[in-house]
Amino acid sequence: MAYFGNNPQRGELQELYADLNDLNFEKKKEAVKKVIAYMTVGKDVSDLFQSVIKCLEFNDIEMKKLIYLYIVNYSRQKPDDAIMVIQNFRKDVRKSENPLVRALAIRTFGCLRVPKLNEYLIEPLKDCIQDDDPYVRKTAVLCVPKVYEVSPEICPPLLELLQKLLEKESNALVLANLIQSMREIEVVSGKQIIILNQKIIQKLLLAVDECIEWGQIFILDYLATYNPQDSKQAEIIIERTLPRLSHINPTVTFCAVKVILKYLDFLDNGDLVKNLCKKVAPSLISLLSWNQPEVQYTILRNISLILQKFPILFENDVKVFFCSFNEPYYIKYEKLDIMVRICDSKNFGQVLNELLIYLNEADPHFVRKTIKSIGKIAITYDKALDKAVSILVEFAKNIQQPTEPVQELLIQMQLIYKKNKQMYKHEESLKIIYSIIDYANEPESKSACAWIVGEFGEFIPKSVEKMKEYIDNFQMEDRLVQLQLLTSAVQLYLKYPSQCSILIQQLITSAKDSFNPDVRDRTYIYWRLLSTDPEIVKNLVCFNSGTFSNFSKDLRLWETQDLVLALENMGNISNLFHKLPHQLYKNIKIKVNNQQEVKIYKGDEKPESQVKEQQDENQQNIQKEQQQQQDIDLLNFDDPPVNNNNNNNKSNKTDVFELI
Amino acid sequence: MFSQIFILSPRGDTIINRDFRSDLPKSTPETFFRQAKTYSGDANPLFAVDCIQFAHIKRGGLYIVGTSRFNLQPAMSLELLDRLAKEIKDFCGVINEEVLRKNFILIYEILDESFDFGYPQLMATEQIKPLIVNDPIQPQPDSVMNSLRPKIQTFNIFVPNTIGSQAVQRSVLNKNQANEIFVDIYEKLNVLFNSSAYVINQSIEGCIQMTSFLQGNPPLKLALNDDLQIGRQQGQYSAGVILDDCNFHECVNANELDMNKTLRIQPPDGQFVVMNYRISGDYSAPFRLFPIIEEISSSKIEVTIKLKACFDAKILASYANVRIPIPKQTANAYPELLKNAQQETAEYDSNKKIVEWQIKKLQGGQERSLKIKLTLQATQTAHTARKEIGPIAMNFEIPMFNVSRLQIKYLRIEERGNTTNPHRWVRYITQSSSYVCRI
Repeated sequence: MAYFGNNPQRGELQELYADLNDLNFEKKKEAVKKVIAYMTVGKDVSDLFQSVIKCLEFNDIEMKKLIYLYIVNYSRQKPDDAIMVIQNFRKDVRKSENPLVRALAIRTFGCLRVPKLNEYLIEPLKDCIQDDDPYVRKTAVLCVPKVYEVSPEICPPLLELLQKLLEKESNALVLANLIQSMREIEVVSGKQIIILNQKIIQKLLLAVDECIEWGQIFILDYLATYNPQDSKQAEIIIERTLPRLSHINPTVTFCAVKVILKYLDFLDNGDLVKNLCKKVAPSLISLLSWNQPEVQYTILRNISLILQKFPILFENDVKVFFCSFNEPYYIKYEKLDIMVRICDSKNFGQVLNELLIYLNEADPHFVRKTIKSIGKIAITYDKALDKAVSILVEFAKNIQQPTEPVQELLIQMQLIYKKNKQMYKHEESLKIIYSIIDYANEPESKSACAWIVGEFGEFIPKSVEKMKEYIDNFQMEDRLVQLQLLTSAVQLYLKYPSQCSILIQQLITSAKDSFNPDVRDRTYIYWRLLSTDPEIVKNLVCFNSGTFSNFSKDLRLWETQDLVLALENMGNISNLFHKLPHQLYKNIKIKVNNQQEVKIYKGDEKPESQVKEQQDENQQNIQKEQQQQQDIDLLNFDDPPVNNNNNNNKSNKTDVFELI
Repeated sequence: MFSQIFILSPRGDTIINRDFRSDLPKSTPETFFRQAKTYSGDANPLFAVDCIQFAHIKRGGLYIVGTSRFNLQPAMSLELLDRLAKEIKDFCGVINEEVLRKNFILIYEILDESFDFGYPQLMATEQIKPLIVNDPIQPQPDSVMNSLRPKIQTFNIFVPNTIGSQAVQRSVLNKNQANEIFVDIYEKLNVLFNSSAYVINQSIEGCIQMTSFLQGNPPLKLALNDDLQIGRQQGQYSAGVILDDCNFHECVNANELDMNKTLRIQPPDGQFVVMNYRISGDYSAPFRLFPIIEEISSSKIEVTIKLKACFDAKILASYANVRIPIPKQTANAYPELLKNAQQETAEYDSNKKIVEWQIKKLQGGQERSLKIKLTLQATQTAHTARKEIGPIAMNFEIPMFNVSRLQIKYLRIEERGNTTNPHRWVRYITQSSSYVCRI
């Protein structure tokens, strides 16, 4: 196609102008079509505004549709000319017999988005909201948020009208649009607009059955944000929602899941809760086999969130999350993550056996993630420790090259050792891990190795020589490795003072002039302490912290109080990033959550409310952590999980998007 | 919700551009196209640039794009675009650049009925048909453009490549040609074997799909197996067909399914999925693979793979392909077929380190086998290399066969006194989804 430039030639415009003013109706129509075609490809035909709107005098619906399209596009450029159209709109809305014309006029009117025109809009809009025809009402109802966006100050009478309509409306489609438009205003303004009562809820539930699928989504999505008054009401709502679980549209199914999971909290009957969980799980699993991997991905991301509140849900279905070879990697990674979450004392063997097989995969990145998952399981579930370690050690035996998985293996082994230091029984594994220590080539894995050498110096042959090797290359290392080396070398020095004294001298000489203030400061601290009182250093460096209860915490995605809000937004983009909506979108204001308790549903136990205690506990833990952190920092521990969360929140937005 | 919906040609020209909310810059289509071109291969269906979210699907080479700044549901946005494409196809018959350019007014009409302020409204073809005033313009059949037309992608969930269907490329608006209905039962199999041909994990994803050209859309009654059962109790075994879970199209009334195994359907025009179902229980896998690996010497490995078709001899698989990944350190590989092999090929791709074994037709009950002789590079020994063989993956299609034994007993038109007897076509197709054998 030839390039025309952004503006049509003078001649073309003139020709169109002539055609538009022609007396022949067909010719006019053709000309208007041409104008729309120009408009679509982005050429500026706003100069024809007056001629185009003159054509409105014909009572032809096709012509009207075309011209309205044109007006919507150019009204903001030509607000003064647009005023001339208002009479036509008002005439159409008031006088037309045809509901299609009335709806068309009010729809277009709403899209003008010129503030000073909106005052003319209020009256006709009120008429349309009370129109006899549901098609007109459904269109008019959606006009209100359009007006609200441009001039919120003139809207209060409209909002009252909407609330009235909500009480008496009987058409399902209108109700769905009504809920959606009132909700949009709620989101934009942060105020509560919708006032529900028992009757309206009944009506909404009825409407769900009659509505088209998108309407069902609107209503269910809204119901998921509502807090029922009592167990009885919750039960009714759940009952009416259950049939939606077998809807073919994945979003409807998912919204139904959302509603049911939300209302479970309000049920008194424990057996009912269990039964409902059994009904929800198969629907979610079916969604996982949906033909678009993108949909699968969103479901998986949300399942990891659901699992935090409902560990009970997939108790017997671990197999569903096994990776199949032809899936995209983003699905596989999510599944790995979920397998770790789902793992418990009953099924860890099954999960680990499956992970064992993934270790043979060709893709090093996937293998790396697998090793990380195995490490996580080992750290989180004490019972799984032995088996997990034996798998990792077996893998280590066959390593011949410094590949990516090896790095992860070293990091994970370090974490495992760190957690289980006091129940030291890793002599076997240590030998094998030590034999591959030279394959470390990433800062994290190197620092893990340095930690192992320092911590287990007395169990490792030639640990001092190894340390010397590291220290010879001190200047070349990453900051992370340097910090760990300092601590490990001091540890080793305390174990073998005579053999290491030269070593430590050498280290201090090369580290004290480091450009990195952290490295430099730590060097000086150790130096001063060693020269004053080695005993203090011993307490500080050989800090034996026992088991770390907070290791398992990093499986949690949210603080418990945010969980409710997160679940209400299940399926939305924000949850894809595992974030809360207001963290992602500035234009969203959150309603304060007034629900105090968050129940966690564990297997075999009756649901119990733990939050209060947990929150107190959390508080204490956080304080403890902060205290510990000060000690631990010197040892260069990983950031505690709480900090990790914050970092994640800050992480780059577009990066995550690439994953989708 | 969507701020805009636009349709771009493969070269990035705007064919359709509808702005619902005017909250995004006018240059958004260009932003989209520039970003989409930065991907090697197809662009991600969802991505964001400068806080604008783009969701898109590709149909007939065209980009159908929705944009938003809201916290919407990604699954829903893709589904919406897919539905829009279906509507356009229902009205215009096909989706390609020429047809869309010719019918742009019609498409604006469709868009206006389907979306208001970016919120989905009526999206079923037969619902908006009375609201649309324009007729579709068919492209000239003998124009030059026509011969250059890109191959039209159908948006079948399952695309069988063996049996052609007559239910293609027809606009629902000219209905007076035929009075017929097509029913397809597709099943996709997921099976995972361990090296001794023992099944570790298996499931079926199936669907019943209809394409209706019935005049007057009469209500239908579809009866399934008598021994059908929905929902599986833990550890239950039964002789009947047990579906773990299923879901239905809006037009389906499944109230009687439990009682007398029938579905009442009010069919819309064109193509729709009546029901999706999922089966996780045991079923006899149609193919079994038996791999044997032998270390001949420290640098030579011999892999023998036996393939057995375990279904009725009357049934013919239309193709069966087997992919065998072999060690990265392979110097050379020689796949050898049996001497009497017919309609079979086996090739070694030295770049990907994969042996592809293709069988054109395979009758039930037959057995085939393939031997691969591998020579390794000096850097690796056979003992470590053998771990890199596999997993073996299979692709196949078996027409007129379904594993679940779910069957259509009858399909009736409920209206009495209907004299015309429409043609009813029923097909069964079984395909592989993920059919893998670990070594």
